[in-house]
Amino acid sequence: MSFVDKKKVILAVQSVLCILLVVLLSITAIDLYRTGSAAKAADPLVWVYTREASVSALTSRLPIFILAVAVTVAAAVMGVRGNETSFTDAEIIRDLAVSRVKEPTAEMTAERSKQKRLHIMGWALFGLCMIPILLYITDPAHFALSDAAGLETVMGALVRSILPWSVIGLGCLCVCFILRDKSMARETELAKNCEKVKKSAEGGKSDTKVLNIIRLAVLALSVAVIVMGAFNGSMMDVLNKAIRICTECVGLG
Amino acid sequence: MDNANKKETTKSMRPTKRRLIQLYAALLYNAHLKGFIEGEIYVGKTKIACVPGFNCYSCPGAVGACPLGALQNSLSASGKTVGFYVFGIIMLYGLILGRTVCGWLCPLGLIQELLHKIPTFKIPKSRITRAFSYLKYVILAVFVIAVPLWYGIKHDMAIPGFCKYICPAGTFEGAMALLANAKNGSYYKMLGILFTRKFVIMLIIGLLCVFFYRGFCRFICPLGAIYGLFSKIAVIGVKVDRSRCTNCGACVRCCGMDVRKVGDHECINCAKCMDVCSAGAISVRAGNITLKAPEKGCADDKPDSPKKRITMERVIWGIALAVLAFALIWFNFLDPAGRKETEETAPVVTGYEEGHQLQDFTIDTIGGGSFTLSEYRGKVVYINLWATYCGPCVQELPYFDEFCKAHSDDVEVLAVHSSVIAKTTPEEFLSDKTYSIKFAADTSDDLVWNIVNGTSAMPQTIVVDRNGIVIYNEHGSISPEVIEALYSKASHG
Repeated sequence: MSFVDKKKVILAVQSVLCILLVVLLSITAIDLYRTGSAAKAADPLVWVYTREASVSALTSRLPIFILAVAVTVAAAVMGVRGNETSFTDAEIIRDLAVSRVKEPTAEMTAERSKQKRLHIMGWALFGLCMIPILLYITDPAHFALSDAAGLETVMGALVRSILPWSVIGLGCLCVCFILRDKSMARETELAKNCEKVKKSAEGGKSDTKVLNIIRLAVLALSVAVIVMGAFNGSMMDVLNKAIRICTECVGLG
Repeated sequence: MDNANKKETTKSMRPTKRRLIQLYAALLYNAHLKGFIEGEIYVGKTKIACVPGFNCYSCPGAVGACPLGALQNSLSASGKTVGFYVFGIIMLYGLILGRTVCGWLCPLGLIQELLHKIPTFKIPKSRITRAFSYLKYVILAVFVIAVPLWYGIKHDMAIPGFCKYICPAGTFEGAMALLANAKNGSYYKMLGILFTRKFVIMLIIGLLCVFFYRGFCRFICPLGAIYGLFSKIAVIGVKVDRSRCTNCGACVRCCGMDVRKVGDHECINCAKCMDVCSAGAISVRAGNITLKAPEKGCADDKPDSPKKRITMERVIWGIALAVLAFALIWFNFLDPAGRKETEETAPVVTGYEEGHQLQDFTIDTIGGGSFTLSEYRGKVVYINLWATYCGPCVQELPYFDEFCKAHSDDVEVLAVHSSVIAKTTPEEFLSDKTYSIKFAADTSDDLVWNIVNGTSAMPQTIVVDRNGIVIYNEHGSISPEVIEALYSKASHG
């Protein structure tokens, strides 16, 4: 078996092991919770999770964890690494090709305006999908704690309301990006067939003066705000919160 | 595998300077190492300062506050006070470092990069991942801003939405680190659906990071989203010399993040692109000062001699290691805050555990009068430790009130506020409420807290039966069913 084949096998085995480990650990946690909840329903003073049950359940998953560690070590010894992320951005290739063109053709200009339209459309659709989310989170009625289940119900409804719109919005953005890429690839092809000119170095330096003024303004603002915070008590609030464990915040309960 | 390949692998396995700085930052943020052994968080004054990176302040090792947790709590308190301090700190970090924090100073970033080193098939970045990189802004708007703000203003409750429902750092560094310590066995009593959900979310995010380079950082992290807003004005960062750039795109191609160009809001300034830029156009700069120059050197730089550069690096590392050594010694051996905790908790070991007689105490109640425990012999007494800034504490007060009303002849409830004075005092908090239970604020020397072994984990409930014997003493939220069940236990047990 060649090194490439060995690498593929190791990567495949490790990928499966990682997914398996996460699935098994999740099932273990859910199983412990369900068993514990059933016992707690019968007697409210019984613990849902116990150290003994947790250790025992996790110990049964230990062989897979050890195997995953062993495969990682073996891969490290053999010099096998995950394939590096690499992405050829159509925009960069286009810019590179276009920068060498003397005069853009009409087709190239048409493709460029199509890309602009797609870009605007993508963000407009994303923005449209964000409107229901914005409306939802700015409506106090959605955060009212009126029913028995309280916060959990409110948060469940919040996630159910924002998640589909987020996915649709990001999906629209994604589709427009892909279509724009295709248009860019076409423009790149067109640019390759055009008359070329020697690339001249870009001259202008960025306007660092304006940038420095903005930086100074932000610096002055942040220092002023920190000083105000020291006087209005928000500094002590940070300390008060940080030296106490908020058990719900870290997920303990 | 040939020798050249082996050499290359060995070289690539050597930690880079960036990795060393990441490790350094993680260790410095978590210098209270004895916290992991003792299972207690650090309670010293240094926690007034937010660290720049993502590091849960409920981690036993943490010696500073998490900027994101502090931000959510500041927004929760918006009804009473504006969290100027946290806004200022985040602005300052954003201005000076921007997303350099993510690339160099974030412990969670380090964990993600190490997880990504697990040899599996990797999912490369694409237009899809680039689109999904905007998800973190939605999470920032909803869970970091909207949820804490609404509940803070409308319900006077601190609900840090991101910490409570998503944050894997809280689960891993806070909950798991505390649970792993045998001394915190009682914390298991608190675990329920919240822990199950957060544990599964943590695993999924971990898996995401194995297959996607910095999966949490790219798609979820609201702190990265905030720092990203400062990318254009950040003083320290990777800069491109446009006059040298050939637009070859090698920088974006080699980058694991969803960048469109070097230095944009997704760029974490890791400077990996410097190695692939054949034109030597990329450098790491702090304003006009070049921190890391390309091998070819920038046109406007006077390159230092290698000897001078090495000496300079050694001096900087020497100072940094001295600071770390001092921090480790201070937080683990010298700091009075740490020693006080050990000295104070020791004598309180007796008298608060189940089956023990609870030591008698008298404390002034809010609104006049006093509460003496021994006066309530013959009644079941519930002592609840709470604070106005603790969301779960505030949430469960109505349960006690309902319960107290239902058993007014046989039950007494005393809610003792922490001696740590919050912006909203218990008096202010109770001014518009009509609870029938008794309230008190603990004395400055933590009288009740010491007697019942109150810790930094709130809320905590102690139930004393009719003979003054403790039958329950646990941290965490309590449900109406458990309150009722404890009453039955006190009555029949």
